[in-house]
Amino acid sequence: MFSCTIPKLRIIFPTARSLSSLASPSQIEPRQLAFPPKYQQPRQVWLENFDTIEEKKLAILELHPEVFAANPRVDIIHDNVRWQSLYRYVSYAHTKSRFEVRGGGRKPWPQKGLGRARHGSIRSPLFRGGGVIHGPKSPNPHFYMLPFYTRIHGLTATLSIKLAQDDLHVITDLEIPTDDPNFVEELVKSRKWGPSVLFVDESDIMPRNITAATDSVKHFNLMPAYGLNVYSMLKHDTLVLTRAALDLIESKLLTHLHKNNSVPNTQKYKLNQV
Amino acid sequence: MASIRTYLQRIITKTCFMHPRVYNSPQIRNSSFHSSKFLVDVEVNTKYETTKNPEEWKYVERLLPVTTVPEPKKLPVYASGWKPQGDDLKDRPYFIARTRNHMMPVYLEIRQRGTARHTIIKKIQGDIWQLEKDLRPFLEDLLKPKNLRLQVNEFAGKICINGDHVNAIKYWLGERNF
Repeated sequence: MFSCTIPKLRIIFPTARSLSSLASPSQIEPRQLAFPPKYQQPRQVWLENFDTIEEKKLAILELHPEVFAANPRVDIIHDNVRWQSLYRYVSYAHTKSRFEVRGGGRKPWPQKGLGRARHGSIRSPLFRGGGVIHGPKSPNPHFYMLPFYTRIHGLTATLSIKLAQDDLHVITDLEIPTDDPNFVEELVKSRKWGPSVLFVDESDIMPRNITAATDSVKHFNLMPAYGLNVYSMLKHDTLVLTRAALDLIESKLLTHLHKNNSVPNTQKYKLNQV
Repeated sequence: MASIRTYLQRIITKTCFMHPRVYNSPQIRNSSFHSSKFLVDVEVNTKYETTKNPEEWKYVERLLPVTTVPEPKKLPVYASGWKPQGDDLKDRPYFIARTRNHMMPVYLEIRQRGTARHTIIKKIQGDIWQLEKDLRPFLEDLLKPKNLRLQVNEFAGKICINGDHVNAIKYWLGERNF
């Protein structure tokens, strides 16, 4: 009855803050944003712990709006997903033309005098078992390169969407006490991170326990920051970044968005480049 | 500066002197990739010393190319007529970000072999419809007998206007400190 009328507001007294599990601000360094935004407010995200099943919110981190509050350009995201599935696809469909099909060198019947249609080969496309006109030829690679800044904007748009949909979490690091898969399963379940989770760390050498724990679980995947891509982010329900990975990804994307010489990146892609 | 340059010149002349093949050698063309010899490390006979001196490093750093266009110094008037963006734009309903080169993102797009000209304003943040409402009377005055044809792309943060109004829009934005 009353719950409908009373607004659900939480008033936090200074004493409550001292009792809360929130770490004191001195322990965790706040983030310094490179290229300070001139109009948009920085986005905020909780820094969570990863060493216990129950969630502890350690601090609030600020995120650069240019990376984490970009326009949700689904058109650019679609370009990226299409490119990621096509650049490694090779079509092996193959057909033979009338000259590749075996036989058919002899005129099947004389030109005149039989009352039948004139034909020069039994492998003509008109015949059953004949060649195919303009059929698919194998191998047909579909490789192409997406423009560099379409790839960059694809990443910012996807990261922004993940954050806006509450599917992006930041943790301190990937250290867990056991290598038991049940620990990660329970942790993900209790924090409602959705069935599939993508953990992104700064480098590709990760702590032993998390690698052993997620090895047998197919919907928990580990990825270094350099492997971050649009398709994987969309494929997994939740994206979990370590703080180091967050710093690295943000700084990399910001340098590409702000650097003055983008010519080497925007030049035509050459297959034999070093 | 000058000392570094002479030092480098000295090294170059030295290497060329010591390796005449580097300087003046016939080009080697092997018959194929497979028959060509493997690359070997070229022995460098030049004497050099490695130092770690922050005082000297300052001069090296000065020669390295800058990766971003730095924030320009604040001056009352610039010789080129360029104006920096205002500082207090946070309370505006909309915002047009400068490009990485501190220019206004207003572009002319020429299509159909020069017959179709469109002005495009990019990097619009905030209430794009309010910007359109404010910009409309200014452009309608310019085009008086003709109709204004203007398209707002809220999704991408762009406004496309038919015709070449780049300088007019840049002037209008400059008046408002964008």
